[in-house]
Amino acid sequence: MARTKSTPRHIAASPSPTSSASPIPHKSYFLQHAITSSALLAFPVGTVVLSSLLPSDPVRTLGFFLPAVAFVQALNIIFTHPGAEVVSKSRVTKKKKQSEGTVSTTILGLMLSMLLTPFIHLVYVLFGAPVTVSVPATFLLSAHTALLALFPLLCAVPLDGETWMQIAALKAPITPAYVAALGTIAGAWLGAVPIPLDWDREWQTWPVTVVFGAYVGNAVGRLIGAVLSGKEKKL
Amino acid sequence: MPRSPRTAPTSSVPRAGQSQLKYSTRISALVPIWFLTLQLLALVLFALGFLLSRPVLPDIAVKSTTYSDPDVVLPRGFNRVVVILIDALRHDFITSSDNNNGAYYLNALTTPSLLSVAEPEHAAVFKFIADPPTTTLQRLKALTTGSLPTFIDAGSNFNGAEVTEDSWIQQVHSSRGHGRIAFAGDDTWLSLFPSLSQGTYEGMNLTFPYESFNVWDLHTVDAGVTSHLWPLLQRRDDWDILIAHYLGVDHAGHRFGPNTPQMKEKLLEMEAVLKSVVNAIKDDDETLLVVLGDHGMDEKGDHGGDSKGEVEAGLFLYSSRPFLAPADQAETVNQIDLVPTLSFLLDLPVPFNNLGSPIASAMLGTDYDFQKLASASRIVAEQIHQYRSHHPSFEGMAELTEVYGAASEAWNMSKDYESISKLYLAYQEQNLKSCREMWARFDVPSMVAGTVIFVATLGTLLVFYFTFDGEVECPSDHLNFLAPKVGYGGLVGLVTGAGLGFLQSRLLIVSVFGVGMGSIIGFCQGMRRLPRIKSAVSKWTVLALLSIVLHGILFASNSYVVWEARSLSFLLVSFGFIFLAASFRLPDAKTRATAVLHAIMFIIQSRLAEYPRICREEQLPFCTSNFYASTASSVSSLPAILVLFGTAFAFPAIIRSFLRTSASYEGSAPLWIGIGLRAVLVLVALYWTLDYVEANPNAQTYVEVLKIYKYIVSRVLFGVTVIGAPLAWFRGFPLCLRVEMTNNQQKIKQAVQNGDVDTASKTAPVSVEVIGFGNTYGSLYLLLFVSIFAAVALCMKPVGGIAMAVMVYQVMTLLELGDALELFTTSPILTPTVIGLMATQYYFATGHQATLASIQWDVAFLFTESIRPPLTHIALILNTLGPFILAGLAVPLTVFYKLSPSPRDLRASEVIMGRVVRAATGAMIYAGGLILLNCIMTFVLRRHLMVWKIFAPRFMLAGASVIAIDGAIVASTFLASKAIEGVFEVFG
Repeated sequence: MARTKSTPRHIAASPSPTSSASPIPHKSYFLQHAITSSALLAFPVGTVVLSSLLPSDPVRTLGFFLPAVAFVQALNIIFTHPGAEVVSKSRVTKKKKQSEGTVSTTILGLMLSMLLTPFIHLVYVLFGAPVTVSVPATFLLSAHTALLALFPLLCAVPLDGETWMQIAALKAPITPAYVAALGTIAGAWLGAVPIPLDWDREWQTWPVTVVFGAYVGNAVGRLIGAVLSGKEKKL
Repeated sequence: MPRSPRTAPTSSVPRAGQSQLKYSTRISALVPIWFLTLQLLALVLFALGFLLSRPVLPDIAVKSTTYSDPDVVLPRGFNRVVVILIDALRHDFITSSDNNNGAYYLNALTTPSLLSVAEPEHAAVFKFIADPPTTTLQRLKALTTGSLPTFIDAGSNFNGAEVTEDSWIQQVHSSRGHGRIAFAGDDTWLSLFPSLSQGTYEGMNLTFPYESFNVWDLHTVDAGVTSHLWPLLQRRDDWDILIAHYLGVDHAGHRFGPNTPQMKEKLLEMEAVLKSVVNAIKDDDETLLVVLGDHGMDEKGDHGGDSKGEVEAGLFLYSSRPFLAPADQAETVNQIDLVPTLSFLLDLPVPFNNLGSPIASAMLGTDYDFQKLASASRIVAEQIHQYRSHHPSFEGMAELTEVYGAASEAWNMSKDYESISKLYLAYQEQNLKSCREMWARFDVPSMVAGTVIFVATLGTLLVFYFTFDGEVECPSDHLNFLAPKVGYGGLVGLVTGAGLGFLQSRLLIVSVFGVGMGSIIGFCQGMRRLPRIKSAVSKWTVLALLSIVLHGILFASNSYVVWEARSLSFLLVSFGFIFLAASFRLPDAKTRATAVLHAIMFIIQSRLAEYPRICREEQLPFCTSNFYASTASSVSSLPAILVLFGTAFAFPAIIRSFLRTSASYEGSAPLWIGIGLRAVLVLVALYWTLDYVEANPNAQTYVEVLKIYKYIVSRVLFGVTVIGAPLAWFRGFPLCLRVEMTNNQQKIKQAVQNGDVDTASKTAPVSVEVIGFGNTYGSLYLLLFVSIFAAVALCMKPVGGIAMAVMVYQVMTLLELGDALELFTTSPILTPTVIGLMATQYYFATGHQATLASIQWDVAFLFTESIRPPLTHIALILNTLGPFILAGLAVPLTVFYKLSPSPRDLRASEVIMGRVVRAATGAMIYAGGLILLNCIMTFVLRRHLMVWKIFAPRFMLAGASVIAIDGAIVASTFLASKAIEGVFEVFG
């Protein structure tokens, strides 16, 4: 059920002659993304099942699953050939170069997203995460967010200012990695909503709902991205 | 991106069109006034239905025939009673505690607990439960009349109101022919019972009132009461009731908090008083001693709400005659139970409107005689039955009559007094329960009418906002036509409403509804004649409307109301990130970099604004107050004062940096901001330093001197900020401009020499440039805005003052962002909406909560030692509603910021006024949408468990804030019209 429409996508609304002649075919890899989404969703679902058996500790659970999430994400990146998903104004030659070293790109992306984790932590704090308490929980949440949102994006997109400016401006073209990142953000944002309610449930402890929101948002975004990415469209 | 050049050529000043402009700006300023009126009308209607009141009956009880029934045996009465009311005497202040956590208030006032253990037939301690609101006025009413206070009384703590219901005070006068009451203490008693002021006996004065509201004075009232207490206790034959109302404990709580050395000192003083009183009446078995607290206090020392600490007061009874049935453990009684108990112990009729039950152990007596308890219960039940049959609220309610009938039957049939008294007590309890529900019955039609006007007003606001875009269609073009329609509609509505209301005997409500709806219908009639105009709706406008809904939806759940400050911070930070994303879309690299920095700044400010907080009870234990020096005090901390000094120096520099972006730090600006504002803020910090030193226990010797300096500083500041600066602004019109003249003779000569005839002929001999022209309106209005900020900062506690400075900083950041992202023109509603959100956020940052207890009453004494209108009221209003007032006043800045005048263009000035009105309606859409959602949620949740604790106070805050924002918008529109006229006069 993978879509195999092979239109290259560009920032510019009107495709230039060179880009329409681009030799790199694009695949949306819907199946792979669907598998990855369900593999990643296994984490929150599995936690729910486990928590009914074991006393749950968000920090331990988050830390325990972190490598697994990184592994699933890395597999997905390698199998969906991020080189083919390049979002850039840059020329074809650059893209070719990137697609050559998928594994090394993946490792680089993983390291970069780890490096950016403290930055995400800061963003969570700005949104109201506790500053003095639950620091490990917030940090692990940031690590998960980095793996979900940043890691695929860092591998799929060249590291130039122009591209990342487009991403920051929410103007980048639709790709599974990009929409998954947006979905993660939206999910995490919505995940904060039930925290203040006085229901006294265990799952209301920080950062459980945000983690769940991020994962669900990521899966939804990834699938939407996979469906839409064949089309010449902007969000 | 500045919309206009920094400099512009000057022009000559034609005087034409001045009066025409004045007319059109003034008529435009009518628009916000109309909307304010509509929202006020709606608010009044809703509040009348929601904030309950209780019908009061004037009947006075007399002893019924039951008293002479041979089966009725009542406890032996006392000749006289000494009532010592220690304000805010919490239950745990008078119980002995093994808990050795070192709290200052524990085990200080020990006489009650020691006596009740040593002599259980003579003395007993009770847990004395108050019905909220736990404010002294309501408590005194309940403690004397035995009735339930209603919520609407809570607001009248300042004025007091004479009690016209029956009470034991009244009964002493009417039943004992010689009834005499001696009184010393809180003068609230005299406003409740003016008859007390005639307390003389054989020419001797028995009344010694003291002013009650100066919460910073811990000793004057208490020392005075004590000084009169001894002579009165010696002359025991001169009075039947002696009331002594001590305030020191309450004031120590408000000023310092319960867990402080000052509180311990105060409680030890009370201990000494009680010891001496007990000794004085030890040999007198005809005197009863009643020591009671009217309410408790929360852990900060405040009261008004219904937390455990606030409602659990202490009660202590003592007499040298054994009269109590010893109980195993402390009984819990309602405060109103004191009323029938005291009536029996003084052999008075139970007040006509009493709802309490007699306290069992005092009725049973030392020999556990249930006949006495049953007799007393029978009399009280009879009195309650009588009351219910007279009271209009109980018409057609018969369910409790059966309970009463069954109990009476048991009385007639059997001698099992224990079960009889149980039956009667059950009746009394059910009655109390039904009364509590009864007086929580809302006037639904009135609430619905209010909500309907809110909906109609919001609709009208939206129509107005989307019709008159300010550019093409100025409101002033059509107001000539619309205003009479609105007035005519209102008049017709008033007449129709009054007529219909008279028929339905709901005159007030239907007339108010008629005026509101009539004027709206009149407006709609007028609008139909106007050409249809549709302005495009930008994404930002959708976002603004969405954020109003997001803020309003918080009122749907008590949890979000409790955590509103954090939720708002979350919302504002989200806004910041949207601004950040939008900033990245800007094409120009330099503008983009500036906008990105401002967006990041906005995010940080939004997060910081959440930091200063006073936790409300429901937030515990997930919240730690940091507004004051510690969680259990209401004294500001030294670091806060130091930061306030820092703010005094940094804040003017921040304003300067913003003005410099448009080269507007010219003309009056350096004097006004660099020197004036800075000096004012330093003095504000100085005031709080003096206050801090005064509160220090080691500085007691200098208190008087410090006080004098304190009041000098605060009054000078009041004069400068509230009166001086606005007056100077109106009179002097301080434009932030500098005129720069360049002599071009040299240039022309050079051009001639070079043979460049073209340049030579085009260059004027003298060129004149106006520096700061690009922000003429903005800088001018900003000067007034910061001076009002200074007035608000003066009335805030140190941390509150810092928070206000951050708020103005954030407003400036937002203005820069709005300028860069061109929000002011694409979506004039967005910036006012964000400012409105900020207003509520900073309300919380200034140490407030949506509770009555969080009102910082002590700022009433900022300028004066006693209550002195209007200074007291101005201080309280600016302290409580300051953020909302500043937000409303900031609205014209969203039009004026970086706006340059168009010389010789009358229409351009009219258009600016049109845009000001449009921004004003935008802000009113936020305020109106919020209050509408609040009313809907309050209406839906009016039977919610938390309605009085959470939703009613939030509704009151919403009501007060909508009036404050709208009022400030009306004022700001007027000020903006002055600015526009003034600039037109200068530039033509």
